[in-house]
This record gives sequence, C-alpha cells and structure tokens, in this order.
Amino acid sequence: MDAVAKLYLSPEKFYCLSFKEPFRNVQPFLHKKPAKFDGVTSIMGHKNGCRGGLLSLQKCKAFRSEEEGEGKLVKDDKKKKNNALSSLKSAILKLSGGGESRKEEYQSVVAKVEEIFFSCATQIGRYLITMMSTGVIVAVGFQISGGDSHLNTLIWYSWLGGIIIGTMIGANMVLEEMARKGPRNVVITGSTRGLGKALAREFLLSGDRVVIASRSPESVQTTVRELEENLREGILSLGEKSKDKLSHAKVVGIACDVGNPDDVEKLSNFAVGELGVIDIWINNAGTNKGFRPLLEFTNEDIEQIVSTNLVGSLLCTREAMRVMELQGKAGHIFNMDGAGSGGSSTPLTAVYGSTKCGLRQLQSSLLKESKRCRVGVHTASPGMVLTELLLSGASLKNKQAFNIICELPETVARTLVPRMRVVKGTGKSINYLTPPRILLALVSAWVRRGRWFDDKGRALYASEADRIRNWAESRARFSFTDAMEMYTENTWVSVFSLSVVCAFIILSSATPILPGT
Amino acid sequence: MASLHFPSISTASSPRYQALLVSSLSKPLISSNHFHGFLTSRLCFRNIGCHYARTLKSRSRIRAEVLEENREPMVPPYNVLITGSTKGIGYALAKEFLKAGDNVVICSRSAERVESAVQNLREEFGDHHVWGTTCDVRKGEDVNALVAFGCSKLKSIDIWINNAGSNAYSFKPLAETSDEDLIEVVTTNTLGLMLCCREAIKLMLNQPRGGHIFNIDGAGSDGRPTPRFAAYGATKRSVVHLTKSLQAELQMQDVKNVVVHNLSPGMVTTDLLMSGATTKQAKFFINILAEPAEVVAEYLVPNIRSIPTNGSTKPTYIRFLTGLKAYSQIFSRFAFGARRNRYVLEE
Repeated sequence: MDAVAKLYLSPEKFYCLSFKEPFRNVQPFLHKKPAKFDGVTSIMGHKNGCRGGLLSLQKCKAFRSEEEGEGKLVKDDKKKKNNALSSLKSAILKLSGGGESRKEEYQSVVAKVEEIFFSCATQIGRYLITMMSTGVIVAVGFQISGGDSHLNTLIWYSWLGGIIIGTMIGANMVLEEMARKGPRNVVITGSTRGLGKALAREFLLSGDRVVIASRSPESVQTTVRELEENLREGILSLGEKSKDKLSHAKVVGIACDVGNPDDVEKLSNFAVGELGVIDIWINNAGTNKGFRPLLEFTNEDIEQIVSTNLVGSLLCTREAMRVMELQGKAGHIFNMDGAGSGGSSTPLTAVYGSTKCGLRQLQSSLLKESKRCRVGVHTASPGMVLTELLLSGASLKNKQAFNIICELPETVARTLVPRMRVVKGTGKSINYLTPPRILLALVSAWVRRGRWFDDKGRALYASEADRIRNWAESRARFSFTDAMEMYTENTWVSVFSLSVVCAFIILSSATPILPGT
Repeated sequence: MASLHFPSISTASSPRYQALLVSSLSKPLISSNHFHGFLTSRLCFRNIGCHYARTLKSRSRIRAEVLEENREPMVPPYNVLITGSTKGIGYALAKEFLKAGDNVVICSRSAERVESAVQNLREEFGDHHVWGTTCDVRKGEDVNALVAFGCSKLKSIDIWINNAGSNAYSFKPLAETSDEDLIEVVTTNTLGLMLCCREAIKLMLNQPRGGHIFNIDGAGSDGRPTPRFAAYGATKRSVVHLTKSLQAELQMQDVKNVVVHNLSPGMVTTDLLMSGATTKQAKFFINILAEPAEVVAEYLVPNIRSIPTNGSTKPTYIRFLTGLKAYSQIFSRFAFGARRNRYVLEE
C-alpha cells in the first residue's frame, strides 16, 4: 500500500511535466545557437527599434498561420497525456489488485518516472545554459555601453525582443514539424530502379505509405518484395521508439506505362483505393535510351522517350491534380528535372534534354494555372545520380568526370526525401546539387578522383544490397549539411540580416566613443 | 496544321507591362538560378560529347572530305519543304516562297486539304513549282515517305521548315484537358519535330548543297509560363532546346553544311490563336501584337532566303516580333489607342 500512495503522487507530476513537452522541442533550437542568436537580436533591437519591430511582425505573421495547428496540437497532446494518465492509473490499480508481478511493475514505473525526471532536468539545464549565455552577451553589451543608463535599458529591451523572436522561430519550426508528422501517402512513378527505388525506400523508412509503379509487372513485384524486406530490416534495426514511426509504413505496386492514359488512370485509382489520400506524387519515370546523335535514334526510341518523359509527366500531373483537387487534403506534385532543364544544350541526348526543358516551362505554366487550388506543383532536381540512365553508354572519360560530381541514388534520396515531406506552398524546387555542394565537389575534386570508378572505369562502389545494409547503420548518424539544409530559408535570411544589422550597430556605436575618450 | 504562334510575351501574365519588362531584364538572373542544370549538362554531356565527338569526327571527316570535292554552292531557286502547310502560317510561307520563284513541297495530315491547297497554288504559280503529299509527322514511316516524295520531285531539299504544330484547338487548364488532346499536342509538336529533324539532317548530310532546317517556335519557347495551354508551351520550349542541342551535335560532328535554325513568327492570326481569344487579356494582346499570316510570311521569307544566299553556316534565330517591336506596339496602344478592336472586339 505504501507503494500505491507514492505512486498516486506521480501521475500529477507526470501530467504537468509532460505538458511541458512541446517545450522540450523548442529548447534544442534555442540551445543550438543560443549565444549568437540572442546576442544578435538583442543588439539589433536596441538602436533600430523600428526595424526590429518590423522583423518581428513578419515573424508573427508567419507564426499566426501556424496558430490553428498549435491549438489542435495542444489538444491532441492533452488527449495523449490523458491516455497515458489512464494507462498509468490502470497499471497502478492492477498493481494494487494483483499480487505477484507487483515488484516488477513497480520497478518499471519507477524507471519511467526516472526517465521523466531526467528529461525534465535536461530541459532545465538547457534553459539555464541558454539564459547564461544570453546573460554573457547582455553583460558584454553593458560593457560596451559603458554604464550609459539609456543604452542599458535599450539592451534589456532588445534582449527581451531577441528571446521572444528566438522562441517564436523555434516554436514555429517545432510546430511545423509536429503538425506535419505522421505518414504521407506517396506515389512514385518509374520506381523499380535507380533513383525512384531509392526514393521509395527512403519514404518507406520515414514511415510513409508508398505506391510504386513501373512498366513491367514482374519488376514491380520483385521491387515490392525487396522494399518490404528493407522495411522489416529497418524495423528490426531501429529502437523501440522508432518502431512506432514505421508502424504505418507499407508499400504496394502496380504496373503502369505513364505514356498510356488508361494505365495512368488505373494507377491513380489504385493509389486512391490503397491509400485513400495522395499527399505526394512524384513523376520520376524518365528514359534516355543512351547517348548518341539524333540521327542514330530510331523512331521507337524517340517515341518512347517523348511518351515517357513528356506525355507521361503531363498525364500524371493532370491525373494527380484531379485526384488532389477532389480529396480533402492538399497534395504536392513533383516533376523531376534532368539535364537540359536549365535550357543549355544537351548534345547526344537531344531528345531527352528537350523533353526535360519542356517540363521546366510546363512547371511555370502550371504555377500560374494552379494559383488558387490547393495542389502544389514543384520540381526536384537530383543532380547527377549513378543510375543506369546515366551509365548506359558512358565512356572511361565520362566516368572520371562522374567521380567528381556524381552521387549514389541513396545519398540523393536521403537529402531529397525529408525536404519533399515537409514541402509546402507551391512552386518550390528541391535540388540536390545546390551551389555549396557544387563548390564542395569542385574543391575536393582531387580527393574524389577514385571515388566511384578506378582508372580503368571499373565500378568501385558496392552493390545495391551492400549499400543498403551500410545505409541502415549510418542512417541514424547526424549529418551537419543535412541539418543546415533543413533549416528553413527564412531563418537563415533573418539570422544573416540580423547579424549584418548587429555589425553595423557595433561599428557605428564604437566610433563616437573614440572621440569622446 | 497551322500552329499557334504567340510572341515571346506571355498573353496571360497578370501584372502587365512593367512585369514584362522586368522579367525580360531579370532573365540572366533566372538562368543563373539554374546553375546546377548548366553544370550538369556542361560536365556530363560535354564529356560524353568529347568521347563521341572523337568517334564521330573521324566518321564525319570522311564524309566531309567526300563532300568537299563535290560541294556545291546553294543558288536560287531553292527547294523548300514545309510541314503542316495547307493553312495558316505554313500556307502563307509556301505562297511567299513560290512568289520568290522557289519550288515548294507542302504536306498535311488531310488529303483533301493538300489537294485543294496544291490546286490553289498551281493556279497561281504553274504546275512545276509546287507539289503536295499527305504526311502525319507523328509517324516515322510517313516522314520517310515525305522525304522520298520530296526527293522524287526535287533534286534536293535546301530548306526544310518544321511548321507542323498543334494545340488541339483547346484552351483549358491542364487539369481539364483530355488525354487525346495532350497526346496529340505532344506527339505533333515534339515527336513529330524530332522525327522530321532527324530525317532532314540525314537527308541533307548526303546532299552536295547541304541544307537549312528551320524549327518554328511558339508561345512559351522563352520559358515564360503559358497558362491555359501548358502542354503547348512545354512542347514549344522543348523545340528551342532541341534546336540548340542539334546545333551543338552538328558542331561536334564537324558538319558545316547542315544548319538548324529557329524561326519565330510571333503572333499570327490563324485559327488556333483566334480560338483562344476568349478572355479579355488574350483579346487585348491579340489586337496589339498579332499580324495576319501573309504579313509575317512577307517578312520571314526574305530573311530565310538570305541565309543560303549569303552562304552563311551560322545558326540563327529569326524573329518577326522582336521585343522592341512588341513594346513599341504596346506603348502606342496605350498612348494613342492604336490597334483597338483590330481583329476581335474588346469590351
């Protein structure tokens, strides 16, 4: 009975602690860049009050749109906690009733409470560190101001402003992530090989429901089986926590020739039947038929390239728009870019290049057409990926060039998928080869010489199965570039502009002091 | 098939002329956004290019040497082949070439229209200057037959104009367009063009006089959006890109006597353009910028003919409606109310 009394106390605590949970997610952000960010905002606010107000106003606006989500979220949270509460209660009731397993359950409950206490302590620790680091910055500010009371109050205000803005940005990001949690329903065309398969796998391992499609029914079946195997391995290798995340993941497939309208309709019906709602539709199917001058392409080759790349994308986009308009939830369509999208010439792949170039123009037309509807039309650019599309007909020389700029499909998928999952609005382009990556590739070109192919053009990289095994292990690892890329652009812009303003203020406030002294 | 020839200015952009100006100014910026695309193609395809260029160069050098001996200068009258030329801009071009004394082969999908067009032209210019055949550019065998027909009637083909294009006569958002329309637009404009280009290059490589190929562009070929005819715009954008790629390919193969050009007729008051004159904005732009096919052809044909006459082997982009012209016409509309209700009644 002793134990019971003790335990009855904890639920209450548990409740109030766990209610803080949204906070837990805010903190990491504050913690990551506390010093810099708060410092920046604090000083920034202090002379340029007007500007600061404007900036924070903008942030508020961005925040407001999320507020609805917030309300819901909190409610959801409450519900969850209630559930947890009741389960705890029932566990305790059982405990008092049942005799034998009492000790074990008591142990487990204590462990749980301990865990909660620990997480709470970490939060408090993080909070303290944040406050202390901002305190240091405020102190530095006081030092610079040299005891001027007017400046001091300004510093205090700007410190407060900085904290508020930082919290808002952090909360915004967290809410966004929370509101967008949960499985997506994804359709990927041409996904039994290469990048499409890697994308499908990545979505699957993020806990999404995926429909794959390809022309041949056999390869669809084998791919479905393979991906299911991957999923099972993924569940096994992940911890207790992430198992929950993957519980909704599933993969189904259907044969579909994207150039054939009946097939496309079948695909969309199948997807709606299997998933109910389609959140993301990726037009990945594309073909190239080797590298040679136009004269050497046969009629069938040209027909197939055009019908897959251009007709297929048009039909699929239209079908996806139709489905997404009818369903209650907004959806996103991605068209894959390729060589030629930018408009530069692509000799030896003239047909492929011109279809991809046309797709880019299609994108801008669709943007105008679909301004008022809920369907987002985006492009995704994988850069150069080591797939059959690229390697068919590549010479030794090409392969040496591939060493520098190419990536494995899994690497690309890993970068693209998280950003595809959180995309919002319309007309975004998700690129793998961003300028920093290109720069990195060019700078490290010397090191990368023997990365994928040796001097004789033999492939050095592991086969797909091996790669996936290695991938599963390194999935959990933290990647700095990924994290950097995941920050919303707005955050970077505001941080940058704030630091510029801050530098300006420091410089301008430093000069009048000198003549005075 | 007459095609829909909008100018390089999009008809449905809502913020108007300033936006137009701005967008034309910001073009370099936009292309720099596509940095990765540029890099991809440069790095990858240039390299692949190098490899192929070597094998192809040796191959084509032999051919070039052979041709060097019996290469002939191109002298008028020229032999012209125009696809989709029984009405609209194609017909006007054919007529204008005939006026200049050239020989013309016309073709189209429908046998009756070819028949009547040939009859009309023969009445005016005599029996031995114009021939016609049916040809669906979407079918490889039809294109082959067209080449055979052209060669049987004429010694060689000097100028090949890829004019056949379609918008399926529909102006709707993509979401409402039917399967058949989409497939028709893409296969005619893209697949047909590619097949024709390939056959034309194949033919011209073996001709002592070489040849010039002209691909007709249309709305969207500059990359600006074309709402209500998205598929058409996408295909026309791909036309320009195909031309560029082919130019690069031919350069890589050291081919000097076959040249691929772009031809931009601007906005032409053909059936296709007029069938889209349903919105206020479209009517406004049609009145200001469109010209009848005859006027356009009168301007284009001398320009086209001057290329072989000068013996130029540089790829060109002949434009009827240049940006300056478009802006000045828009300006005069606003300043003096010129061209109001010229073709269609505005409210």
